Amino acid sequence: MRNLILGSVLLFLTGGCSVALVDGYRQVPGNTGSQVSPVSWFSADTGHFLMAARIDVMKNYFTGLMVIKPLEGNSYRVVFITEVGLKIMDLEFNPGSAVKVLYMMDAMNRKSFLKILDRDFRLVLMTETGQDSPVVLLDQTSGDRILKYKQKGLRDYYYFQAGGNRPSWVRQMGSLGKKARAEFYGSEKTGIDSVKISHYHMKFRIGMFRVTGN
Amino acid sequence: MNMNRSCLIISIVLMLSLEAFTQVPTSLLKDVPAFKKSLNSMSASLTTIQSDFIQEKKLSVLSNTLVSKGDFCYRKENLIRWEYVQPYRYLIIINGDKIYIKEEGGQRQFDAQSNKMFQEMNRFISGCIRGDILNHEAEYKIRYFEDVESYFVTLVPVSERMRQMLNEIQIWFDRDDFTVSRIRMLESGGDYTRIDFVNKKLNTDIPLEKFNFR
Repeated sequence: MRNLILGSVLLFLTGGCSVALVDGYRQVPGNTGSQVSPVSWFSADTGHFLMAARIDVMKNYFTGLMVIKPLEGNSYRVVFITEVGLKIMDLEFNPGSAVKVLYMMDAMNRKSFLKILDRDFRLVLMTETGQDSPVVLLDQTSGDRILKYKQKGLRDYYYFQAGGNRPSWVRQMGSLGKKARAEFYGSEKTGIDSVKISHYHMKFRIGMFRVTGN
Repeated sequence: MNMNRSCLIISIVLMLSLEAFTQVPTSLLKDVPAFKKSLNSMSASLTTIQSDFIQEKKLSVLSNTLVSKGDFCYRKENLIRWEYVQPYRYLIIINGDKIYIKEEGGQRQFDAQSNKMFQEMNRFISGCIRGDILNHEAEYKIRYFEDVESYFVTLVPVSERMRQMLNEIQIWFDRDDFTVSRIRMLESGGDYTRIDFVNKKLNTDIPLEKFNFR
């Protein structure tokens, strides 16, 4: 009986979050008419993206340059170095498999830290969006769309403005509610300008600003 | 025609490789104690260094080299200021155990002791610039070389942990004044960071305000 009540409360809470998140949106029957072919901001064929980055985690603060290089098949290499050139981490993200750690500075090599980084970068790089067909939610008035993907007990909601195929923001939900959010700033013409990632229940923020001229 | 083109390409590659090799003095330094004595004497009389710097970061993941430029200031005993002006503005001031960072979108001050990575980086960078890293013989296997222009020292970290971060550190000292003219930090996999100090001015008056956190 106790489990039943607890289960009902959890169901109500998680269900409530989902409704609030997609308020005003209706699922497109059979996902027809989606007209959105989601494209990662980092998939452009420019060789690499150089971002000034800062990671603010618990009591630690790391700042430096983030190199994001698209590889074949929706995979990405992400290298983070300090301004004075010391490498902090070198990671490879491939769809459907665990992050490949090519290098991680000893002081930062913590399993929990790596797990969060893995989730955050997959969310931002959109490595998993090619795995399954999404549920498409449409705002009939504005034409804006939300694409909902499920992976490993998480639900990722990518928001696209009408006519756009690169997301404006994405929110990740777990079984107990909101987990993380990323906001993308840029334009179709000039590409990505900046990305902000934040978490709802812990102090873990990543900010990245595009650097040009290198 | 194709043969000629191949020969030309091979010749260019060989010339570039040779050029890269000739930059490293290969003659063993005959009188190491005399060099260390002169270096210590210079270090004792040194009050300030002001210099421009050019930093090159080679990452195997990228086909091009990342280049940054800026101004460097050192004031005895433990005041360091790196101001990057290209490709974007970034300022780091190390004042004893305090670190101040100013970048686009904000500034931050924190204690180096609270951040293991910064603590090690601070000790390492200032040790290279002052040259007193050569006194850490228990931590590095040190070899000394020379040519007509420079004294050249290679440091291979003894500890496995440190070697995971840096395979070898190379420091060039000017023969004229025993100051550091170049630092190259080599990582596993061929990645490296090279910092060239140019237009050096020694023992000029650098106001303390330059190292203040504003």
